[in-house]
Amino acid sequence: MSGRLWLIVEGQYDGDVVRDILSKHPDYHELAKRVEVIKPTGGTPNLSRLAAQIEKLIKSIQKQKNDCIAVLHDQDANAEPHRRQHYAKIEEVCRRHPQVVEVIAKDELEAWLLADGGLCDWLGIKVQNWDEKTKPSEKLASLVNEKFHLAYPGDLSKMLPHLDGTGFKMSKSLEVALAHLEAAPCVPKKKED
Amino acid sequence: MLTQLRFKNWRSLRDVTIDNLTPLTVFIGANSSGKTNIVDGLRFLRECVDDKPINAIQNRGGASKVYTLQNDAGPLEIGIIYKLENEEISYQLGLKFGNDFFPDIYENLDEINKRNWLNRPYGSGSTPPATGLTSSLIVDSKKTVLLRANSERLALRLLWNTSPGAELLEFITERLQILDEGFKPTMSNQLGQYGDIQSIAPNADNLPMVINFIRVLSPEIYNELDGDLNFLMKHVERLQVERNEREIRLFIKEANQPSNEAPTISAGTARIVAMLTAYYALNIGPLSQMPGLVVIEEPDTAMNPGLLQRFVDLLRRYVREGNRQFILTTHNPSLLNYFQPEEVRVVSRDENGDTTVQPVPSHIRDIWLTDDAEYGLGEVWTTNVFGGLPK
Repeated sequence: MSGRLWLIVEGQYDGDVVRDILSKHPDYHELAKRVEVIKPTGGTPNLSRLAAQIEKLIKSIQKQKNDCIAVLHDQDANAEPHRRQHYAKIEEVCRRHPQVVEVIAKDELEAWLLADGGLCDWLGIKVQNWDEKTKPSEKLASLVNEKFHLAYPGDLSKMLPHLDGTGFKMSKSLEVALAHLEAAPCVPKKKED
Repeated sequence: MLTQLRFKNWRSLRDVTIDNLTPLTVFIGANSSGKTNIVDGLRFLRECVDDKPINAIQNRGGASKVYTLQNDAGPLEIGIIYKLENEEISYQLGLKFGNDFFPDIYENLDEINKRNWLNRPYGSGSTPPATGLTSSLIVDSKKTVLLRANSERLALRLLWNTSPGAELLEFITERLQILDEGFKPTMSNQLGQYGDIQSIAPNADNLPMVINFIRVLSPEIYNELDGDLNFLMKHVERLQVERNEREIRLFIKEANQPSNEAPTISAGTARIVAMLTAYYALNIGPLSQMPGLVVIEEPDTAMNPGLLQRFVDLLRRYVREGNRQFILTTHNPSLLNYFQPEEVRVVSRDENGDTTVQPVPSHIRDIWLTDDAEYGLGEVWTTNVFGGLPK
């Protein structure tokens, strides 16, 4: 089976981040081309919308033959209780659709950006694993604002060109996420040399 | 009404057939997906049938602006299927580009599933008509011959005076009203200014002349137009036309000051007036009983979202009243919320850059548009489950 990989995300920016991470690394070029980003209805990204609509999104995509589905969300270890119920709903739906690949950022998705060598060079900081650190989004926002007077996530398009796709070397959760995406049933498997 | 549009080698539409058109059809798609090419394809067809094809080509900047593919891709073809009460007719215009400046031109007309009421080619030096089509007009490429082609077309029309073929040609030339992307009506036309008075121009720059024509020929229809304007915009008490020795100009009187002329007409109000006029212009004159098609690109531009439902309701009323069809394009999910999936076509580019046009998958209704009405079709569009969004 070989088809599109529909990546269900909370908001468009999350999809842009994953697609750019994939497209920057030669090993994942082909995978990046297969990714179609899909998000809940509504304007501002909102976890509750994803939880409320995930079942319909999955059912819609399942009608496309040869395609497969991945759901991307963060786990936010320090989440407020009301967010935890949404995570629980998303996980419950994914469990009921075993063919759906669940891709989880350990904390916030921004940890994957801060693990990228190219982006860290541009920001002038040392590459680190942010998977276990709190609020990488706030760190990233303050860094881009201080150094370049950019707003995060509004100016994400000015930041993504600096990625070099090496974040998986530092971030375990990104490494696992990419492995999950590669293992999706619609993605042709690489031949071992 | 039109039930099918077909394009071959027309700009980004390398080979596209759009079937099962409904009385209201709306095209959605990302910027540069090909929506405007579909609309301009219809304009191009009208201009080619009504005038010389070479003029239609030159109006667009030459062959490279209409036929963007390499020469060996085959001819440029635009075809339609037109449904009458009991029969369907297909018409196809073909332009074969070679090294010569003038393309070879051919036309095919066929009554689908009916008797072959004309099955010989017209014009000398003809090449065989396309497979499955029963009659054709084929001429070669020189300008003088094109003029002759027009006279032959006239002969065909006379010959088919009472035939469905004549009606189809009349439909293409007289019964299409097209408002193109970014149309911006003017509120005043100088007297003596050249312009069509029965048909709205694609940029709506002849709006005062057309409304004046409607007013003079049929005050009842003019009043209906005025009533519909008030249905959409309660503040508009009366649309008025003034003709003096220099110009024809439009102005409105507002409900709160009915005795005074409103100092301005907003761009959105002017566009609504133009869209209603495009429809009502079809109801004037000897062909008013014939089917008519109004094509509007991005009708919702400068329109308050609170008006969209009433606007679509009005179009549905026009369709119910008979023989009228609308084709729209939009980027607006709020507008799309008022349409049914079968009325929508999704325009995209494939990996080769060619435009594709697809219906909304039938499962969308079953999954998203269930009785609890939690989501509208436009909202579902924003998820990307049926495409038509930028990558």
